[in-house]
Formats: sequence, structure tokens, C-alpha cells
Amino acid sequence: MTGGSPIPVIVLTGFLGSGKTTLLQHLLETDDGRRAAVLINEFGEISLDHLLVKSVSGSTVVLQNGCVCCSVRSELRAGLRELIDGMAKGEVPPFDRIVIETTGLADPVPVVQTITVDPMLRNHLRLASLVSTVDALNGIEQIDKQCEAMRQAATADRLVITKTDLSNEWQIDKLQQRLMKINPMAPISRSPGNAHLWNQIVGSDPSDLQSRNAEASVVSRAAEKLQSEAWSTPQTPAKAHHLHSIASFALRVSKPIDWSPFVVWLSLLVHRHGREVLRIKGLLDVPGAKGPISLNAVQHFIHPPVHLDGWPDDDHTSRLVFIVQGLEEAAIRSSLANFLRRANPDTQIAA
Amino acid sequence: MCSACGLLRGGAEWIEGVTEDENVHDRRLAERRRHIALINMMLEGTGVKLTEHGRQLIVRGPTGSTRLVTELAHVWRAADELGRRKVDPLNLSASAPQVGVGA
Repeated sequence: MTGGSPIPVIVLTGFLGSGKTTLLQHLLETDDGRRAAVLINEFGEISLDHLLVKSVSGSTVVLQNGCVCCSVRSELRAGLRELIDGMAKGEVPPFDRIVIETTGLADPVPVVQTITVDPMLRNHLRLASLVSTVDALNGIEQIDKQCEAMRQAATADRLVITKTDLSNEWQIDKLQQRLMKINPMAPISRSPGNAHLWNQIVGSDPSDLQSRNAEASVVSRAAEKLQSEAWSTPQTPAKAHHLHSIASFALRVSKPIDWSPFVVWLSLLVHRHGREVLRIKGLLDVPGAKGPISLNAVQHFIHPPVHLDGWPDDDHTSRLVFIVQGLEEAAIRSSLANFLRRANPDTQIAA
Repeated sequence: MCSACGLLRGGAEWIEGVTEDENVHDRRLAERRRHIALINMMLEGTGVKLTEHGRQLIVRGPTGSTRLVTELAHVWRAADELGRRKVDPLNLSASAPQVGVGA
């Protein structure tokens, strides 16, 4: 077993053919990559010449007393446990990060659940980042036609545009603009040719002050962008009208937010609508806390709240940024406002 | 384990709040009871009620069936199983009375 800080886990998603394995290959060739352990769903055509690559099959189990959202990937759990035990026993080379590559159609939530639900794993690992690859050549078409491609982009913490060497600046810029509308909170990187990609995709470390402040700035900027109408336009796959649209929006709570009713409301929202609530990030002004509370949720999973030392800017209003699919902004705003007002009649919530 | 289980991390943060108050024990106890009152407000009309027994939470349905839950996230699932209907935060009545959560 490891005795130090939890090992960061990067979950790599991306639609079929979007360049996940090629990106992984590039990452593993770097100095940082040599300290990575990798678990992949299935070996594809591209072989990875790396000491610590294991394949895991795609079976999913439901935990005892669990529900659908409690599904965990049993082989993934076993694979992660073997890695941690193996390093502790000296049977596998030391590693300081783990990358899990999912299949192209995968929903990342069971992977997230696997890491966060298992008592042993959650003591040794931390979910660092959900990274999604988007193909510069075909990304827009995939997003337009395939609901899963859009959901992967909307759910990600970070997006990597791949195949930029095969594309032109106009195409890349167009895709980037589209991705910023689908997911205004995810920083976008490019590959190949990006020497700092590891640093960019490993994501924020809650124990690191700089990371925490950077994350707070991301939420603040996204909330600001979403104030304008252009940024809150629902993103509907143009050629798949039967699909619900994905929309992002920001809510502001004028008074310090009352933690108890807020969390009760939030937990029920993600319990009932976790499939449609793709992401929530927030900066919350909570009475009794010395600084803002950083909130981060992905579908059914809510990260532990993080206390920040200070606000990223002069705006100290609580802000919540949502990315949802098939849910109405007005319904969420009204629901939150109603419930918070029961606890504090002065609460006002604005878009 | 679902929904807020990550936030719970064993139960403490979610049910007991994030206060950095010096009187941590009393404050957490008050927060815990306030959470329970708020949850019961959410559960109105389902026939389900949440009570506490020591550190454990008990969800009781309209027919008397019960579920022991150790984490607050499990409450919603137990309520789904036991209740007359599933509660949806997006369909809550705006005119519902204010909850008596004065701890």
C-alpha cells in the first residue's frame, strides 16, 4: 500500500477514433509518462510499449445495497487494487499516477464510482481529472451526430483536441469555439506538439493552493461568460433532433448560501437527475467558512467540498455553473430558490 | 452508495456541514438534526420519514417497513423503495411551508 498522498487518477475518454490511444502513447513517451500506470479497456491496433499497461474487461457490477448509479467496474477495481498492492510489495515499478482509458462509447461515471466508492481505493487514489479527446478533423460531426460524443465533451474536466497536425487552424478554432459553448469550464489543450500536456491534464490537486485557486478562477470565468445570452444557448446535436439538448448556465445566490438546505437539495437533485446533470461547479459563500467553498460534481458523484483561502476576484457572490442535458434552467433555478427560501426567506437567485 | 457518497466520505462532511466553528461537536450535532428536518420536508407526501437512532439513520415507510442507512445519500434510495411516490426536487411545490429547521 502507498503511504503518502493519494495517487492521482486520470480518466481518459473520447469518442471512437478520437485519438485516445495515440494521445496516451505520446504521454507515455515523456519522462512523466514513465511514472504512469495505465489501465485500458481493450487493446486496440496501437500497441503501447510501456511496463505498466494492463487490460481490464468491461463488466460492471452493482454493489450490495446499491442502485444503478452505484455500479462499479469489478475488473477495474481488481486491476487498481493489484497495481496498488503490487507497488507496495515491490512487484511492479513505482508509479505516481494512473491513467484509465475507457472505450469510445463509455460513460465515465461507473469508472468514477469505482475509484470513489471502494473503501481501499478511495484511501489511496484521488480522481484527478476526466479528460476527453476530441478529433480536430471529425469532432464537430461526431458531436452533432453522436449523443455520447457530446456528453463526453460536456462531462470532461479537460478537453484535448487531437490530430491538430492533420488539420488547419480554421478547423481547430471552429471546434474550440464549439467546445467552449458545450463545456465552458473545461480548459482546452492541443495534441500533438504540446510539451506541457501532462501538467495540463493531471488537473487540480485539492491539497495544492495554486491548483485550488486556478480551479476557482475557472468557475468564476465560466460564470461570467454565461451571463451573456450567446454563452447560454443550448447545444443541440443538429442532426439528432430526438436527443435532448445540452445547455450550460450560471446561477448566482445573492445572500451567503445556507449549507444545510443547499446540500439536501443538491443530493436529491443528483440522485434523481444525475444522468442529466452532467457537471456542476461552484464557488459558495457559506456562513462559518473562512473562505469560499469550491463545489465540483459530475453526474451522480459529488467531490468532497474544498475550502479555499480566498476568492479569485472581487466578486464574492455564490456562483453555480451547470451543464445539463434535457433539464430546464428555470426549473433548476426555481427549485433551488424555493428550497433555500424555506430556510432563509431573503434568498435571491439570479441567472 | 450514490449521489452524495463522494461528498460524504464516510458520512461526516455531508451530514455535519462544513463549518469551521470552534464548537465543532455541538455545531455538527445541530447541523445533523437540521439536515434530518430538511430531508423530512423534502419527503412530505411520500409517507416516508427519516429519524436518527444514535449515529444511525432510520428510514420508515408508510407501511412500517424500515431501512437502516449509515449515509445520507442512501436515504433517497430507501425513500424510493418505501415511499408512495418518488420525490423530485424539480417538482416541489413553491407554496410549501417553510421548514422548521431551527435546530
